[in-house]
Amino acid sequence: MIPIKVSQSDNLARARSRREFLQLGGGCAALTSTSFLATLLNLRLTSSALAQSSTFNDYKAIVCVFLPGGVDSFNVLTPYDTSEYDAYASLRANLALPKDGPTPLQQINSIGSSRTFGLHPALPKLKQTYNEGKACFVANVGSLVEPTTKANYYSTARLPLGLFSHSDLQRHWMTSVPQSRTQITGWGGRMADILTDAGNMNPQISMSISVSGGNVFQAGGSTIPYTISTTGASVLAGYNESPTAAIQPYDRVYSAFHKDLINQTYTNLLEKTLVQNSKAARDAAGSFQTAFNAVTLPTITNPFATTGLSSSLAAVAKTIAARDALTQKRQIFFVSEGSWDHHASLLSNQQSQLPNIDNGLRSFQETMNAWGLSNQVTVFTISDFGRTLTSNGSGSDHAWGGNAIVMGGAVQGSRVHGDYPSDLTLNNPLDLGRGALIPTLSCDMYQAEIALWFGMQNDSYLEAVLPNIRNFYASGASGRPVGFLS
Amino acid sequence: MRHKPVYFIAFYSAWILTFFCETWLSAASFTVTTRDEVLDLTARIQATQFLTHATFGPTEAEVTTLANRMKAIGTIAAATEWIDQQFSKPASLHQPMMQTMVTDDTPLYGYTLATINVPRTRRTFGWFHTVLTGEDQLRQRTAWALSQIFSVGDSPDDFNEPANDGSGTPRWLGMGNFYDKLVSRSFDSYRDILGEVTIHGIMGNWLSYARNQKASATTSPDENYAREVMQLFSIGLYQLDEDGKIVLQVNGTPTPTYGFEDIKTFARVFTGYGYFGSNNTNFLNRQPDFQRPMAMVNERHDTAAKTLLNGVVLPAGRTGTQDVNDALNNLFTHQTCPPFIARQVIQRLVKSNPSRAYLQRVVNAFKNNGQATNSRGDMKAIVKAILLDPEAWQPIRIQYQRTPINRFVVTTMGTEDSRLQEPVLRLTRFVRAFKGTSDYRTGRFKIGPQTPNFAQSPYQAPSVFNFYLPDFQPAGELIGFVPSTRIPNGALVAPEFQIINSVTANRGLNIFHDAVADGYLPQTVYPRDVVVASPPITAPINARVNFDFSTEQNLASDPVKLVEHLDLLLCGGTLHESAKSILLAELNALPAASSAQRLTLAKAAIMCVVTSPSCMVCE
Repeated sequence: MIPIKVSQSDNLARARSRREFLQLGGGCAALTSTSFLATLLNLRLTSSALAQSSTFNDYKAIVCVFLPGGVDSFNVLTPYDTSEYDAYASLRANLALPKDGPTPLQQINSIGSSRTFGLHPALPKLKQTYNEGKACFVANVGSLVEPTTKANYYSTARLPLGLFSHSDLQRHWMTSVPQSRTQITGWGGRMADILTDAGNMNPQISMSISVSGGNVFQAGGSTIPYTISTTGASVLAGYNESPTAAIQPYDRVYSAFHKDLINQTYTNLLEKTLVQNSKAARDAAGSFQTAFNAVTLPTITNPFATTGLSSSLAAVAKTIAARDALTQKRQIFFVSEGSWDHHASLLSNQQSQLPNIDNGLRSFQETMNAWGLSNQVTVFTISDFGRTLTSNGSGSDHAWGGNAIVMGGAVQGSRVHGDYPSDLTLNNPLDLGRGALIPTLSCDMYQAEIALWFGMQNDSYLEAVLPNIRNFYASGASGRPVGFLS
Repeated sequence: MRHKPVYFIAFYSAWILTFFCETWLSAASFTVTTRDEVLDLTARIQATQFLTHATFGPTEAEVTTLANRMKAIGTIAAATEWIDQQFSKPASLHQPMMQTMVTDDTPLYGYTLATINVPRTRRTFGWFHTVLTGEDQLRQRTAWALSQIFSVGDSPDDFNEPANDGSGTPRWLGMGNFYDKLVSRSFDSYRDILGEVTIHGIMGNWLSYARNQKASATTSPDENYAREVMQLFSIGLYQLDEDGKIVLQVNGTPTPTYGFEDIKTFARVFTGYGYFGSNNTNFLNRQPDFQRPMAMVNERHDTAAKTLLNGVVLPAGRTGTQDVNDALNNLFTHQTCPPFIARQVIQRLVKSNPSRAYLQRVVNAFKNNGQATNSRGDMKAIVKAILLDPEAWQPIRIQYQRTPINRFVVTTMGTEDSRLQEPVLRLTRFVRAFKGTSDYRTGRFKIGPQTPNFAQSPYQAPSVFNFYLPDFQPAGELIGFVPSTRIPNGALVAPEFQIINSVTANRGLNIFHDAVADGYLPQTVYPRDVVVASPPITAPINARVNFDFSTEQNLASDPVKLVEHLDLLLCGGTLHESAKSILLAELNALPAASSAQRLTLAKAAIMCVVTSPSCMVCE
């Protein structure tokens, strides 16, 4: 929880004084005030962060697209082969998407499989990216503590807390510690804690950058996400590094006053720390904005729109293009888009909201293609949960497993990964009732795939990022957890 | 900067002398000509300092009233009188205000308590209006401190729904009901507060012990509340001496207050709670009720014997309520409860690092309120002990020197005696100092959530661990700093720094810069805020908080006077001379001939002082 990154030697000094402080006072934040599990994680991270010191030579970024509310993703990706589709259509009843008519499902193949699938009609550009091999789906993924079946669900399985509430399942996707409500760091943040020394030379701007405000996913033990808006950093309003150049007379005074604060002598260390923090934040915003504004987006077939996911992903793209100026070899982005809790009017809501996703993703991929960065940038979606397959009238309710989208040049595209359920009849082996499906893939596996691609190794550091991973994926296993990234 | 004292102002309390040997730091000084001016300035500075601890920000009028009393009957006597008056003021409650601020608009816009959108914003409106305008400032300030111990966030879906709870009240109002329990209990016993919190449906939901039941073949009791009620609400992780020093074990490590077995035992204590109206039949299905206390369903309670802390045994076969009461007593009477809780209340009201002696004095008041009843945990006694303690006043020293010219010199103690002011308190202080008024048609303040600016906002703690941790240390020189032996455990903390980061450091200043530049704080109610409006609303509903800078504008032709005025109002006279001289040099370069120019000059001075480290760090 230290906003300003300091040099390695300072880091060591700080770690040492922190340990001494622990012994003297038991006063370390991690020790007094977080859950036991979090404490263990944080203590582990203290050493691991110091252990990783070699620098990445290549550049990589991951972009987490959060779709809050729980997307009805069994209508984003549907069965298509006759018997599977008929079971789907029968169970979903008035929520089923038709194969024909004015807006039919788009049929897609999956390489290596004889099955075909239906893609929502409002996602034509995603189909194009999918067919180009740069997008894939990961089927029936959700938060689990350990492998769970219908049999052990009702008996011995340790289950995520708070099934199936938004707040809990959102938190689970972000923390990857679904057995805890007091976990305050996310897997992205913990990964950044570990990789910062190797992947981020910027002392002021975190490798975790959010276009959508604070979030648990990026909250780390020592890494705080750098929050930007679609127009860039939050600069110090009214401040001009050349005070006399400020337009408003009061801003000339304000700029001169703030500029000089750092030069004054402070015997009060709280004031000194505050002034140092302020200057660092001001400088960071200034340098970020300079780098951000220097970027020109390329000319592409489907340019970014100025609203919605498009505008957020345009800001992500510009920040990626500014990576050298920001001296960052690794970047973790967070974007939140829309509101997907469609208890009512599911069909019309998805028809009107999915194009926003379709357009944003396509523009982003075309931009990465144009810059030759496609293989280095991976976009993935997360959402609270899938929804009940049965209808409540005009919508669906909270359930569990859902389907995710992964996009980028590194994905094993044109494929549906994981186990897309072949039996969507009521009371099928995964159905907890009303077509609420037990996930056949844990988010830990989904996240481990991304983390390993991003630069983590399958060792104890991965366990610090994903504490439950060993319930699904063996230590030292050589194959990819799922196989959707090359 | 050090100033050789010439003589102490005669009435100045004797206890200040005990700190004479300390190193006095950074100073501000004022030119004075008469003894009356000296007396008046002294009283104003002390009144400002006190009201900064005890209210949501000193207003010019309150400072004048209290300063006059201080001159009349003495500093401590006047402060005591003020506190006693505050104790007798009726509580301003938040939930009724939230409701009123919605129903006031029903005739105009059609939305009701059950159809409004964005309940988070509505709750925040009610909070800001109440703390800004309530006459029960000390109660409100204490409740705000308590709400940061009993920290509840607004993330659960149940807390934000317009749908009714079991009492027939929209669920989104439940957090207001919980907060009001803290408000109305602020001056009762800490034990009563602990009990009130424990049976509240909001806490039952938040920490998942509503519907918690005794072990079955496949389930164990939920341990969430068992852990947090010990770790955060009563005794903390480590045994403390009464002066805050951690009790060490033989091997030199801190002595834990409880272990895993204790958590399991306490988890068994907190079995049997269901929402109001629960019985054995509907236990798992009774809908949430956030207005009425949870019900104890004894059939679901673990009635086996339990061994609590300090060897206290709860015999088998008792009711759940008996078990809970005795378990809370077990925590409340634990030797570590007074220092653990008292320290946090001091941190919220006065300073981040109370000395061992200060904490011991407040702990003494916690243990025994000094009344005939000898009550433990009396919040009135605790709050009074905190606010009237010499250490709450010592950081600012006031001296008068005659040579070379008549100067009135303010010096401050510095690092050990400081606290970074919470950003939410900086905002309320600003609104109150500059006579903020709402231009909304009802005149009520509509100030929305501040999390994006501050990482702090009422009802929006990210977790049960509050916005920041009591022991947080920011990166920087504070970490290696070895404090005096007056400080327990050999290190200084500064919790509020935990929410200062590269984003909030800028945004947390921008809100003030923009409010001064514009002359108002914007609040637009439409369109996000209204889902049902009949007739349809075609224009945004502005609800600005307008500020009155006329006093400053009138002083602008004399920048020295202007800055002295702002220093007194916003920094309690502690604005550094070095900062003052830069500011004055810049201000003197601005024209002040016209009224508009004087307003601009005043704005320049205000935005600088309010964002200065002297203002943001309280001493």
